[in-house]
Amino acid sequence: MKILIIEDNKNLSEDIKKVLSEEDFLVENAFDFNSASEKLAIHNYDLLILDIGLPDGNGLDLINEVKDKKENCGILILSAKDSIDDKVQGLDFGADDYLTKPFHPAELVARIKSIIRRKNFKGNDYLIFNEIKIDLKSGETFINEVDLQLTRKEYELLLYFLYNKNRLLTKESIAEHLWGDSIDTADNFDFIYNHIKNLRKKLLASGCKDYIKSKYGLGYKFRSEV
Amino acid sequence: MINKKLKLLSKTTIVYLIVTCIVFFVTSIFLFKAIDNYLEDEVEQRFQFFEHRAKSALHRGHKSKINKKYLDVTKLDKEPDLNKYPIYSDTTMYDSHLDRNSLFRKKTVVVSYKKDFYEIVMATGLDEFVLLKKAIARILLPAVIFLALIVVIANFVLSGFFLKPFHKILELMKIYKVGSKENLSVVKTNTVEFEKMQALFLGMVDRIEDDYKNLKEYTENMAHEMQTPLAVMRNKILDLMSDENLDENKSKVIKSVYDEVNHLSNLGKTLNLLTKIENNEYKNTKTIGTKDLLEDILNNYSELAELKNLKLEYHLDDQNKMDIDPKLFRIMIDNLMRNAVRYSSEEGTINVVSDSQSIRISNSGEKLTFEPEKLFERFMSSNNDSNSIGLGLSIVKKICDMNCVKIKYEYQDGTHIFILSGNC
Repeated sequence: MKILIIEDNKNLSEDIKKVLSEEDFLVENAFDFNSASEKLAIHNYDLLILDIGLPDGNGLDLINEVKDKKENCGILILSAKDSIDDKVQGLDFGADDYLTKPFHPAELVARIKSIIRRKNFKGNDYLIFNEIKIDLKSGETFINEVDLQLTRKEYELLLYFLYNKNRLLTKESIAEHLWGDSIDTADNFDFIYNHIKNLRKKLLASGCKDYIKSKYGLGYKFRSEV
Repeated sequence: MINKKLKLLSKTTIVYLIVTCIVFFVTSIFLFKAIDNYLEDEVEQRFQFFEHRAKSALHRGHKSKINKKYLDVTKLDKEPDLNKYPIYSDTTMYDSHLDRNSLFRKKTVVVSYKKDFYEIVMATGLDEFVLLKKAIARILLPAVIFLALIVVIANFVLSGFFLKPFHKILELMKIYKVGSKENLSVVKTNTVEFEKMQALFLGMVDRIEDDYKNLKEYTENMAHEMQTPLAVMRNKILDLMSDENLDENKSKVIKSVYDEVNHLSNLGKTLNLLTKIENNEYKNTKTIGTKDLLEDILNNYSELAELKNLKLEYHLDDQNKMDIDPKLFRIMIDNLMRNAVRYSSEEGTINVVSDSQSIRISNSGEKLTFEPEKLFERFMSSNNDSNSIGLGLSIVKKICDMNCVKIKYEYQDGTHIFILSGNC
């Protein structure tokens, strides 16, 4: 799976590269419009992470270039501008998703995996990890093939964990993933604690191993090995 | 007059009237002096004429031909004291022409003729002169009063016309709001003072707009440009946090840095939102029925309320309507609900009620520790909760102001109540 990061801030670009490399993606960077255009001409990428505000051109134009070459290349737009117009325009141009800076790396990983899944697993919408099986289409969860009833938020939380195995998820990142911007992240620590407690209880009761561990109040980690 | 506030016009009119009175008074004095002088001359001339006639009659020895009434010549026995003459006196005498008593002036002189001394007593009527003076006075006073009246009235009528540009400029100053320079029109005037005033006002507006623009740009840039560095910082901190060998003490330190970075980032985002609202970037204003939107938003909060053991009750009226961009409406209600959830007392109740006129959002909670007037100010928070950004209610206020929605805060029986009532 090859990913190209087009982002003019080198620090941020390297960070994204590091995070995605940990997830076993092949990652390359481009720091400006021209080098991105060149790379797109030479290589085939499965996914673009694209900052719209490049110093030497509008990132939106790159969407057309890549769509001409490879129809089902996934595109995730990054922008510092939290502007609704940008969002709509980006999606109109054929982007698959939109992420506003600053974002949590875990959120980026979840979004990317979600895009890739949508692009590549047509008709097969199961996410399977050991005894856990999730039907992404119907939103049902099975533990050892037995149906497990989860609330909407618990389901989203489990999915977020599965997309970010072995990655530390801070409470802020979880809060933002579950409630978006509409709620002050700092408000929700108790809520998150409750949600995770409930989710763990349900998973354990249905015979699932205890994968979710907390770390000194920093956050939670879903460990693939117990 | 100094302490009392008067219109400029009233002031000038009063001053004008006072000046008119003084001028009238002074001129009258001069006028009557002049009339008196003229009359004295006239009387004297008559007396000289009489004297001349008397003298020539004496020369001719026709003393009998002299009119006895107005001219009387008497031969004196001895030489009189010449220094005493001429003698003037005013007296009332019977006037045979008019058939009544009237005022006369008498002049007595002594002349010598052939070593004899004769006393000549002359009289002339003064009535006609007195009547003349009275007639002049009778015309003068009404004429001046009439003149003053005309000028005062003309002043009032014309000044309405002359001051029109002035009032127009004042009206423009009144309606001017920072950031709305385009709405200012230029008032046409050929009065130098008003033109000066207008030029000054417009110059001031330019400076204000400039300062405002700079300030806004600064805020915008700050809020925007700090997001990327903050993202980098957060990622680096996350790297440290993910370190398997991290001990508890260090993780506490790192966590607090992480929290502060998040706080800063949220602050930037929120300031951005405020700027966007101020810049009128939400333009999709339309009349919306609030019921469905409110229901949708409240559903998001029911879970949060439940987790905090709060009761969330609502009763919504589908007649409630508001002219506002739906996104702004959502942001506004979100902030009010967030506020309600945050500051509700444990196991309290949040109530949302709408009727055809207003939306009421109330929650149980402790009384504010500061004056309610400061509630909507930026960075006002009752419990110094470092997690709170402190901009939520100022966003609400801004949205209300921009969309002509009235917002009222009340505290009653342990309940905080926010009332939103329709577009004004």
